[in-house]
Amino acid sequence: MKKVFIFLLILFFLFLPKISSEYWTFIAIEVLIMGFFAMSFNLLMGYSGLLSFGHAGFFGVGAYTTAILLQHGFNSLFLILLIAIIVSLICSVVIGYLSVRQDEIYFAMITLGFGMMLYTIAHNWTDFTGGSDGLPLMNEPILNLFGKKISLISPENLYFFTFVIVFIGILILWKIINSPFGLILKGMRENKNRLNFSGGNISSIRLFAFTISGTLSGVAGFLFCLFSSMATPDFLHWSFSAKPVIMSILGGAWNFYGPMVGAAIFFALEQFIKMYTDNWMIFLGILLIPITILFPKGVLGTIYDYAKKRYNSKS
Amino acid sequence: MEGFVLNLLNGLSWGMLLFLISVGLTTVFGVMGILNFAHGSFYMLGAYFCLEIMKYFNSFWIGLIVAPLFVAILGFIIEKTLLNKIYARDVIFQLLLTFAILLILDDSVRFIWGPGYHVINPPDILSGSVKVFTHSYPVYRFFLIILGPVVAVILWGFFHFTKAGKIIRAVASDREMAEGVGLNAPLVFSLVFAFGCWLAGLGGALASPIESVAPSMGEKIIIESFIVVVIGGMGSFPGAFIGALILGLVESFGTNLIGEIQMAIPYLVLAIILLVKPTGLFGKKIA
Amino acid sequence: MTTQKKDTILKVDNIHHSYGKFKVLNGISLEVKRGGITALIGPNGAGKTTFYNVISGKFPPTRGKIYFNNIDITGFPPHKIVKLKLLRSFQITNIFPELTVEENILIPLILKRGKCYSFFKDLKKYKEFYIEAENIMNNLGLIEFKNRTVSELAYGDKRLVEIGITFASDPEMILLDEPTAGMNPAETERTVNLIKDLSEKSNVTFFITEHDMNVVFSVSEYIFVLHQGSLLAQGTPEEIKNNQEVKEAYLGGSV
Repeated sequence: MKKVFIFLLILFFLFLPKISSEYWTFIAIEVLIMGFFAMSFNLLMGYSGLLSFGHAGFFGVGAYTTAILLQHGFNSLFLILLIAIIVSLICSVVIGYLSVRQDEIYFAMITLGFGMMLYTIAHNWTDFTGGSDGLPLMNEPILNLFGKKISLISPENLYFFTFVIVFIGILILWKIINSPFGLILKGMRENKNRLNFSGGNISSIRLFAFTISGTLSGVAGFLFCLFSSMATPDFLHWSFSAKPVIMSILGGAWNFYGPMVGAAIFFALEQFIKMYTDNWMIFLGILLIPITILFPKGVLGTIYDYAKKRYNSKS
Repeated sequence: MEGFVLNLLNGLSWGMLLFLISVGLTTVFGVMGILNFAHGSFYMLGAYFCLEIMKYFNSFWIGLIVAPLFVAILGFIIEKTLLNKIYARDVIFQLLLTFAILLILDDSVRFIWGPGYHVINPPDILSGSVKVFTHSYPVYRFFLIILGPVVAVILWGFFHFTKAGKIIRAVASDREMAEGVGLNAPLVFSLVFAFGCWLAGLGGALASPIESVAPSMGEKIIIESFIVVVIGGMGSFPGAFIGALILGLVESFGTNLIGEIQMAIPYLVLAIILLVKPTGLFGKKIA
Repeated sequence: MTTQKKDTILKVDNIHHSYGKFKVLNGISLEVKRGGITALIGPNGAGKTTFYNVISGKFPPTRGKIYFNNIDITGFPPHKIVKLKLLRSFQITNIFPELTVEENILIPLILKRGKCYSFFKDLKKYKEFYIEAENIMNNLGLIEFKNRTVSELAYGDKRLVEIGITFASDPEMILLDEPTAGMNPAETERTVNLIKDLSEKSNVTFFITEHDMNVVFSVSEYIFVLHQGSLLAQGTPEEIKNNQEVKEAYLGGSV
């Protein structure tokens, strides 16, 4: 039943650009990228119990690596992706190493600090990053697939490219949470002390989780750079780091697909509200208040729990 | 020499403002365990309220006294209606809720006063400038440099010699103990939060003559005061003072020494201090 | 078996510990023999839990040495001490609350087998882990709760899960801090029998603290008495029962 559902969902995503307008294809791309970003982030928040408030930093590092390489005439997208992965991996290891000994709010603070450090670098190192204006893509990104050249300027092509990369990324996350390491992460979320007294090295486990999460966020940034045809310092700002947090909470951090669903809800709301007013932030704030107060497990998580209780009491 | 003195003065005056903001943030964190993302927005509101009050009374001094009170009242209401619902909950929800408050306050200000800059003139008595070597230096900044330590001493006296201050300090240094003696009465929390907001509002009103009053002013200062609070040790009063001074001075001297990475300096300071002392300069070991 | 029992598994040499100015442990030296059940008793505030915290690496002693199997483990972090097979369970129920009983037991098994950093292989493919977990759950009488979330279990069963987690790490020695604290008489009896049973079936050395003297005298073969951070007496249950100093310490301390 579940497999059929997932199969149908994949089918739907495959044919989406054929049945929808270009406008909605663009929104679908954004949802896929941001949802994937939120899912990578949620490996830390939902599965490991660590709230990083600097994940936009890694996202931005992926985006800037892509923009800079494209500007300097690199034309193999796969090579660029590989380099983006390596660069965000290095950043994650270094920042992770400095952060993982902290707990809870302290962890959130220090990751926020390092994320903003990356932001200021992007913002101030004008020669290299274009400063506050950002770095537009000068060259058309072209995918070279078995000798066939596919331009990613076309929304449909970009959609499929994004879909494939995100699909692989989600598969990796899925593998990880179902591996022994995945259970260890949940154990750390539940009771890190007990894990430590069962032989788990907390700092090292956290560093691995942080690195995986940060690197995949960099991949999301790579895609986002292609999508928006530029990289700007905004991608690294701490208010951008709040997005995956909000999406995860909206969709439910304890559910694997929750953050992706949260991203879809987020963009649907944004589109809807922006039809009427420019003050989207006020509405987001007003919306967040009942969510944080009334839905301790996120919107989907709470509904899911409620349904489960109903089901259990019936049977 | 001249450059040195000017940097010193700039660093001190900015440090004193940072201190006012950070001490509120750190007190609220110490007592309630909540890190308030919206703290910078209360700072911004202090400036805007001051601006608004000056329209009616045309006196900076009245604005300086009344604006922080309004900010405190707003803080009190927010604590009573929203924050008190999530003390028992995960850090994530606390941060998100204060973030939501930030979004609402910042966008409301943009809606009411517009996105542009406003300028507030310092009162006549403080509006001139003094010759420092060949440069003229605004009197108002001297006022801040003097005011900072005065406020610090008053706060220190409040925390050490009054009953209310002692309670706050006791709760801030050991929340569990405070809960044990029954100090987690809702009113203490509301008042402490209002007090933190009052300090933020005071900082905002004081900053209004030297900073341009704009919706983004809160966002700028909140990150820096986060850094102050973390490097000083979260919940620590002397930590906030020393941390603010360090950050103010390092930033001010950094402008000359290193051009491009100047804005990254606060974060480098943060990284270095946390590497050497993970709990901050005056922080206690986390159990 | 008798010759083996004379061999020392844990040796504590003159350890001190203080919280700030407050001294909790004042130079305790003792040796625990391999096998069987040894008890550590003492009135409230004698320093039992602190003693366990120091041995298990939660914090290092301010002075003194700890040897486990003749290895100096003073100042080792907890996860390293666990690798040497010295395990502890906790006075406050210390489990992974929102995971199932099976998952609770699987976690120490994964760590023990060094599969913590296995990122991509499906956990379900490690059949041997599930078999071992099944065994442990059978031994503890937890098998019927296998797929239940631990936070939903009754208090006594949670404590058993806690012991199960400790046991799954394949210990040579287990420090059990107040295993029957807060249990009703039925649960206490079940737990006591279980510990006896585990001790007989395995080669694990149990070192327990316990406030219930009936439990202590019925299960343990050797007893240490702590009082005000120092070792007051040691001996067989018979000797301790008749020790005048111990009686006074208990009367003076708790009544």
